[in-house]
Amino acid sequence: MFKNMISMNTLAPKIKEAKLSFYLLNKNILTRAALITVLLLILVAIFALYIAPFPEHIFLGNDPANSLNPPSWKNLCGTDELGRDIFSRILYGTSISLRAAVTAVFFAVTIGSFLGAVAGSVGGWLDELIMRVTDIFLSFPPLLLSISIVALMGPSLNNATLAIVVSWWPWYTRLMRGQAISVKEKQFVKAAEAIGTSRMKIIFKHIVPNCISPIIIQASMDMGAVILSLAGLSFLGLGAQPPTPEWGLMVSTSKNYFMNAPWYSLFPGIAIFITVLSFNLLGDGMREILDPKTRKN
Amino acid sequence: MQKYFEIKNLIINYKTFEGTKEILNIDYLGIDKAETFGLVGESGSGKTVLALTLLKLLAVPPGEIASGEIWLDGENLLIKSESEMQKIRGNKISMIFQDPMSTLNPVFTVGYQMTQVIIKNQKLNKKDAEKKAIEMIGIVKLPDPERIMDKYPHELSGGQRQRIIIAIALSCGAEFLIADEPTRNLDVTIQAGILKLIHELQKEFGITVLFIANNLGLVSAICDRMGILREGKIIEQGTVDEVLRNPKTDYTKLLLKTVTPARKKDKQVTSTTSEVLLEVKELQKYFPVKSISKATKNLNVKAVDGVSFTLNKGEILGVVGESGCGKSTLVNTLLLLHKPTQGKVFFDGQDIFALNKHDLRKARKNVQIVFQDPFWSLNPRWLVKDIIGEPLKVHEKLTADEYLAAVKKLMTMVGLPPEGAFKYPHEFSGGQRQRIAIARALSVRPKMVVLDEPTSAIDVMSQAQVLEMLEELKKNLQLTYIMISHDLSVVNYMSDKIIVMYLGKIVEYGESDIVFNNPKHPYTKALFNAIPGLHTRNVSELAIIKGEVPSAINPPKGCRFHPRCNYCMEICKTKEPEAVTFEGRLVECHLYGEGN
Repeated sequence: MFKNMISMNTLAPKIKEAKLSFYLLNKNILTRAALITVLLLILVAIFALYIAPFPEHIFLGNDPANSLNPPSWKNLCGTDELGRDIFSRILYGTSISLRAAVTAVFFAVTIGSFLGAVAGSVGGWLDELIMRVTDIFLSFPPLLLSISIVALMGPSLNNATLAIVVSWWPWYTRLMRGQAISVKEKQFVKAAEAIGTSRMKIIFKHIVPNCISPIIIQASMDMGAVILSLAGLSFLGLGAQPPTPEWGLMVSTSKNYFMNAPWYSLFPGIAIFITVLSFNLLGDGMREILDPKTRKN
Repeated sequence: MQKYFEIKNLIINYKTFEGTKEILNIDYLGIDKAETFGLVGESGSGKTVLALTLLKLLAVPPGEIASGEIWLDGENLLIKSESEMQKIRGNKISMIFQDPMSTLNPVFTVGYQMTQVIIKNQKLNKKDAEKKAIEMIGIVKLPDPERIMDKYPHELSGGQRQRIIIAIALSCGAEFLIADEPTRNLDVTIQAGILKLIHELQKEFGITVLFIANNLGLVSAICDRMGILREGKIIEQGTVDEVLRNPKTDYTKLLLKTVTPARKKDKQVTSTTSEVLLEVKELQKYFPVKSISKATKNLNVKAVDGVSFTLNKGEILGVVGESGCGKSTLVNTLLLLHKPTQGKVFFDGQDIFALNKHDLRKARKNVQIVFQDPFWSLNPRWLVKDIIGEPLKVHEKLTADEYLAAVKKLMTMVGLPPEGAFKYPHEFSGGQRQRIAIARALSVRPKMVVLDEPTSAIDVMSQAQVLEMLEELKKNLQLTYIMISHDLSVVNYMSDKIIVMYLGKIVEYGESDIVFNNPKHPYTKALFNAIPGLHTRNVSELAIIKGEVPSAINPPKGCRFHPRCNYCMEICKTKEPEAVTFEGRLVECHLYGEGN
């Protein structure tokens, strides 16, 4: 009963906050569209195998008689050089791209913001050390860094994901460090210090929760960019390998048939475009909700 | 007859996701030409919304002007188009904003910003505009106008910046000036100067001023007539004398009562034991200046420079001084939030700077702090129960039930409903949040509590209640307070002893009755006389300290106050005064040395 009371009481402000967030999300038509698209993409990613008209075409199945057919009611996006249904493959590609992007962003955010929080809150030589390492990573062009990592470890989707993590975490370190430094000076941190709260507790219970909003905003904006990078690596042959229905890889294969079968490149391209765009728009919307400075009321 | 400025039936609504809320509802407000009208209200009463509406700068949406008329000099402002308003803004109406730090653009020089305004509004060429700007800087009484023209805003002090803003506001011949709490972030001595300036300009140029304030003293000092704004409605208006001497509404009466809290009659030094709790000896705190250039390499900001005092159990010590005098650094050092540069502090007989890490954490329990701004001293992402209970978690081992019971007891003690334990800080008002901060400080039964401007960020109405509660708690829990405040009436009301600080040093220290009734140090005198109270009916009664607070990196030789002192003698420029006992208090001034 006691437990219930707590949850009831704690829930009320959360519900109010959630209502406000939803209101703000819904107010902007672009954000709303982006949110719906992202939700749809997630649904598609989960149920791709069930909704794809030709699940057997996703990986290997071939049907040479129907190769490079233009779009029709049977094959909504046409077929590829092996006669596979491009629409089915794009649907399944959603889950590949989203999973890889979420993994990459998750690890980049976790590693990056942990180091940033420590650097910003503790300061001193530890700060110097972490930030100089960050600088070194940031001094390589991200794509070059990713390419060299994949070249070193061999091309595969997992290695491409790892490569993205390696080139993206320093951005979160920088962001988190800046936030931590400013929050560190706030009076509630001083108050905790005066009370005798331990340093670890101050960092992870006082400072980090108050730095998290810009990280979430950045992460949701980065989702699009990460999907794009992964597609780029796959296009170069450094990411997913055939016969995986990865969008970038599909575009890459299609370039040989571009003159005869433009739909083959077009539809995976549109899929990348829509996904990246909706994540970017959603990121903008998130900023509006989480960053009180841009809140209009 | 129509007045120069009139508001009729103005209703302004705010649209939020929870529905439409009425922010302002003013039946009638009239101001005569060349009159200073004071508008007093608590924060949230709609003062700033009104000011923005007058300039038609209110953000629409979420704001919405539902109905009403605003007449200025026979013209209805609310039916003007945006381009017509642009001509009126600056030329006819001007506004002085609250925060001089953010009103000026930091990337342009003051001169550039001023001439731009003049060129745009008055269609002068560049040369004439510059001439005009220099003239205006002279009018607002800043020394050396040509040099000021080339300065960037950060090179000027808050008071100087506010003067520049006034100069800009008046540079295009505005006849109607809206001053929205123009002295809110300024020190009392600087505030007195700005008030005088506004008053003089108003008399000289015959401008009409709408002076918005949250302080009755200010309005009393410079306004002819005044109105009280509460929850968007003007509940009382009339001449200042009428309203202040003979208030009609209960709210105004209450407001008046809280401004001048009745002096404690039973105030004697309450500590019967006279047991020393805190002894500070020659405390110094220097902050090194971070610089790569050789010239400034080994310089220090001498924030606290040799401060000694003792505090008995059960006493309240007030610390006053302008911003930058080192009062906050002093208490932060006492709390060991900074490491001291030199000196010793004995708390309860223990040398606190000699404690090891473990003992220090235990000792922190005994001294707690309540910060100035309850909006930033509470972690916005924590529930109130976690905030209040944080010290308990650090210092005591309690079960979940005991813990919650303790938190609820504390909340009752500071007059908060215990159900509030499961809310977030933003759901409370300023006064309530300060109560939360006090409950947190008291949770581990400290011996001493440092109150860093405990009432300056909260509404006047709640101030008196919070002070009363602090008084009560002190008696019940046998606490000792150190109270920092720039609000002398608060310090006067509360404290047994008082320290007046200037530039890192104590200039006067003694029992507050003695010091308040008969200040001796010229700085103390000026400080006390700079504050407008209800008795102040004319700004010329306010004292101004000439010049600005010098840099604490290179404090003036001899007496630190001598460049600004009206009684400066030759000896003051060379020899630092010793602390001498004079009429029951310690004072550091050559006026009271041996032989005088």
